[in-house]
Amino acid sequence: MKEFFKNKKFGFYVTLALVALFIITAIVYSNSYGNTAFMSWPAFIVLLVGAGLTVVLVALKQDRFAPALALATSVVALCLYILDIYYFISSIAYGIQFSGIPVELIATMVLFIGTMIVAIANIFFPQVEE
Amino acid sequence: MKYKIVRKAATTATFVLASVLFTGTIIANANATVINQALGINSFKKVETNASTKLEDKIYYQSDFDNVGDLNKFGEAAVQQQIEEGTVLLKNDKNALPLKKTEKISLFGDGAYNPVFSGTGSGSVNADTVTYARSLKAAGFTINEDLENKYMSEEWAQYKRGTDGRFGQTKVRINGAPWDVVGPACENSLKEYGDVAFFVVSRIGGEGYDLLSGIDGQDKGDGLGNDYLGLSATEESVLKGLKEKKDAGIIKKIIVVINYSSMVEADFIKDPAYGVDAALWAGAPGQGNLAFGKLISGEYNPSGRLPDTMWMDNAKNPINVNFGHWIYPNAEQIGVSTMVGNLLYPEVTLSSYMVYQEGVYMGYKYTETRYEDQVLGTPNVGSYVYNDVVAYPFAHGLSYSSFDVSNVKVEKTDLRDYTVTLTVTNNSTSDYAGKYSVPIYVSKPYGDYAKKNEIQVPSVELINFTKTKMLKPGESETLTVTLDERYFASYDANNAKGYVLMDGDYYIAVGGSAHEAVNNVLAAKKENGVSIDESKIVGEKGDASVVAKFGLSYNATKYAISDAVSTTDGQRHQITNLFDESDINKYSGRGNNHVDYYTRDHWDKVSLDIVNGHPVLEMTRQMAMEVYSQVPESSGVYNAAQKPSGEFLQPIPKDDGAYPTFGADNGLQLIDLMYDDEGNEIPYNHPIWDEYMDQMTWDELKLICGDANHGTQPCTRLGKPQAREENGPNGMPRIKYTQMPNGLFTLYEIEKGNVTADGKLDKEKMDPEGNKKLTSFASNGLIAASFNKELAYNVGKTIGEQGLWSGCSGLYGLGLNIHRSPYLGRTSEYYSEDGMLTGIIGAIETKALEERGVHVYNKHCALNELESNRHGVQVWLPEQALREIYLRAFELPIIDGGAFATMNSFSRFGTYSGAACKPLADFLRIECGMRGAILTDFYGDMNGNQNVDPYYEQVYGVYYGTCDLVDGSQPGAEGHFDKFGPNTGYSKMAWAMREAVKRCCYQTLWSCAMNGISSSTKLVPITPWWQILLTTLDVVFALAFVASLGWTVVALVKEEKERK
Repeated sequence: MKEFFKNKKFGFYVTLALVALFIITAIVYSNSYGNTAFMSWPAFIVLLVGAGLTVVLVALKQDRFAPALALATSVVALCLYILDIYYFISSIAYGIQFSGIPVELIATMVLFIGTMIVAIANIFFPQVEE
Repeated sequence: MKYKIVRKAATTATFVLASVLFTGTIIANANATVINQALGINSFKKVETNASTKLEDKIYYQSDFDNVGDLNKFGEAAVQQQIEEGTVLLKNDKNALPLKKTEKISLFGDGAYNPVFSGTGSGSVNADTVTYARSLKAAGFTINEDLENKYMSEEWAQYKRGTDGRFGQTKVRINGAPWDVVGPACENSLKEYGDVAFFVVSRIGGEGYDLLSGIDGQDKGDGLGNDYLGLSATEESVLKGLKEKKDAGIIKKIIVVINYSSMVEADFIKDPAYGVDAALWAGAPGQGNLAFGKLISGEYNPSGRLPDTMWMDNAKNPINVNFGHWIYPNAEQIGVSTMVGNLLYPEVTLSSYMVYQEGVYMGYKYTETRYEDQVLGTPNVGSYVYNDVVAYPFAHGLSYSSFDVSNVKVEKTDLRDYTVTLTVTNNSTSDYAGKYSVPIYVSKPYGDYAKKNEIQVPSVELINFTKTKMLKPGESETLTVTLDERYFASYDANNAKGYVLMDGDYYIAVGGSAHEAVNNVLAAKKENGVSIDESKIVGEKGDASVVAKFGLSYNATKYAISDAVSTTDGQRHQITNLFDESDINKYSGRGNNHVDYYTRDHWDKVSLDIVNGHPVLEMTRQMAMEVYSQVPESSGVYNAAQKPSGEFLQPIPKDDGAYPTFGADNGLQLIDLMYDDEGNEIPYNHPIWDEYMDQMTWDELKLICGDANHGTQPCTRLGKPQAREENGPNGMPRIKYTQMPNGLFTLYEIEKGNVTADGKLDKEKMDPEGNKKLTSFASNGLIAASFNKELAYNVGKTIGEQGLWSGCSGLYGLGLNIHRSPYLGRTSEYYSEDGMLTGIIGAIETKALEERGVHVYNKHCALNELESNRHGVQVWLPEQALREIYLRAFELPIIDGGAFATMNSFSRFGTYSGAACKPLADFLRIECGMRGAILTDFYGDMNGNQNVDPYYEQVYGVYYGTCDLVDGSQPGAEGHFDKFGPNTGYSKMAWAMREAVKRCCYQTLWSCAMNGISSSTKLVPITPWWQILLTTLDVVFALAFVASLGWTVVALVKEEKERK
């Protein structure tokens, strides 16, 4: 194991953090909206499959492709999330009286967008020593 | 290596941007209608192929105005007249009003400086408004500016009214500065401005919430919770403080203004402890409040009459026992969800109910009938003290003048008409000229036939009304009014199953409030030998001289046939029971349920137990089946763990019939269906319509009946323009005259050459009045209160003309539901507690709109008298009440006003939602002859987006002919029809869709949307600039991403080679 981590650089740990973020996002999203029309199950699957494949790439020492996969996962999941959550937001924008943004909405938006920003940054971080 | 960072950045950026843009494009395209409306973009343009066609030959609906400047002034005058003639002078001790302009005024209450101008939601205003303080100043009064500054200060912003909670759970806060704060603040200034203290009591309501139990009202333990419509402790403190100042001689008069579209509890106005000298009910004034100051100065003279009963205590109003929603206690047990949505609409949509237990005895029909029975000595009246119940009766209203009604005569002038003649004299000794509103009531016999067949007969019922011109002191006017005998008939749902004239004496009472009318009828009855207990008379003794009596014999055939011609077959049909299934006592699946509706024979059974007095009903299996027969197949998505039992799912059945023809080339444009070669209007059932409809494609059918968001979709290929429709009902304040290319404003400006090189309106050259906001009318109760038919017409005319000039060919209004309870949130949009008053005013306004090619979607038909948990509540009531009150309000505007369309109810008729109720559609189309479309605007709330159990699916509405169009659903519902396409075995669905679309096209044809279109005009669809931009950006970023990706792949291959 020590050998495995020997040549890893900062980016590698960000990639692992992204895997964790994918799983956390999937759990928070499904817990918040699982029983609602605002749940995108494809987004949920993309997050979990993306997390799994990223781990596989790392395990196969194909670290340099992991950031790209993580970025693709986060962007596709975010887009799928937007496609379902916008109904909720458009109801507010459409003039329905409303007071207070639900905490579930804030939490999921922060997670999806935050994950994508980290994934973008990770593209530029070295994963292993060249 | 040196390009590695750039390559990574380019690939990442283009990927992220392309993905997000693509997602945005999907969403934007799905919401194209809404975006186009928001940006003021039209989906088509007109190309005239025959240069010699003149504009005037293409204007089918002409305006009475030469320009919109004159129209705006006309609208302003109409809304001010609403305030002038609709404001009701409730009380005026020692002629406290009008005021002299030398009397200095202090204004108290947040509402004086921050009035409620309208309701919230669709009844909201969008205009330059005038506060009570500003209105009084404009009328020439001097007001206490020191106090005004306090109320307007940052420091006092904490005392403004407000709301708490999210939509569907909104609770209203009265707030207000208490006397502890106000008293010291005005201690000095009141010495100078103490001639008059105005106290404004403001209350607000609106779409989506009712007003039962506010936040800071006083809880009197009567079941009404923190009563929003009683005085709050803060308000009480201020009024008592003012009374102390009055007792100390610092204030001379206290005048109360009720600024609310419905009624507050008015006990305090009568209570000497508050020392109120005068009081006015002022509704919610829209943009017309400049008139208020003129009423106070005497420049205007009040002539309004209350459109509702004003109760001493709303806990004495038995309606409130049955106002709200209750859940069938056994619903879950038989598999029907009672889940409450947890996001925007926390409502129970499948298993809640409400019983209109009062039947016809609502408002004055309860208070006055129970009172009359007490005076007549009828058994079982129970404990009833009129003065403890009613503060001011329906149609009460004072004036600065006094009037006499005399020479009342009623003559039968033809087979069904009676002509009432009367003389009104202004006999006041003052200088005030004024108008006098004359309500006319009928008192029908409550005899053996009625008792035997359980027909309920209120003591008096408004049947018509009139109003004088401005009468100077000493001046008289003789008025005539026609009464239609049809409205002497009662609906007998049990024996004749139709309208019957009952055997016995009929009394016509002319003028006065409902209470005065009852006293007048009692006086006339006494003259005719009826025994009455005069010791029980409340108020002034009646005057038999303003009452006419005549007898009628039983007749069940005279009004058995509808007045209107059915649009389904061009025939007149027998009127018979349509709504047995909405009466829980007759409902075929009622099980053991039974409700004791109110009856004159047993007033003692009327419960005033607000908390527990409502009937408890059980849900039966048939109810469940019917509820689920209207819902999407995906119902249960909200509550995934508890999907409905398979036995409840009722998909649309397949059939082996032939589909209609699609896409035929018959060469017909919509305009060709207007007139035949002889210039006659082509009727709806003419065969040429089949030829036209054969041209439609399946996709066009789907689009039109699946998406009608604030307008119907165009079919430019066949000459059907997009019809823009706007939310009312208090005008169209959210649109501009430049809205549509077929608006007269745009057509005339183009004709004048005020266009830019690319054909758009030149904003520099065009009439600047075209940029002004359209008129925001006052709450509709003020029109009803004016009892002025001419004013009602002028309000309708303004809205119609503004639609015509802006090209908006439909109004989501009028609001014709009933002020059943003062706690109903949406009273600003509705007129009155009386169905006849609502119907008469509604018919006149409707006529004025329809004459201008602007179709009304009178809403929400019917029984939509609940806002909290409005979605899907099951309403149970007797058919007599449904017809004589709730449907009367919609029937008259269709039959007498020519209403083309209807927006249906959020509530259910029994188990069927307004959009799925076949008897209702039959009532509208067969009995009333309604020609246009039925539309629902609740579908957008119910398509699953709002996270409650949807209770209606548009495909069912179209299939059963109960709902043609859906508003408020973006993206539209056209995708829901995909499975029924050609050759899939659903021909009946295809034919139903075609009929719905035909109604829509017929409606568009006979609207101002056709202005500017001739047989030589081509409609050319336009792709909006934003769609072109989005698509271009999508392509650019996709190509950029592909290029970056290619670069990356090449670089990686190169790297790999170098590594090896």
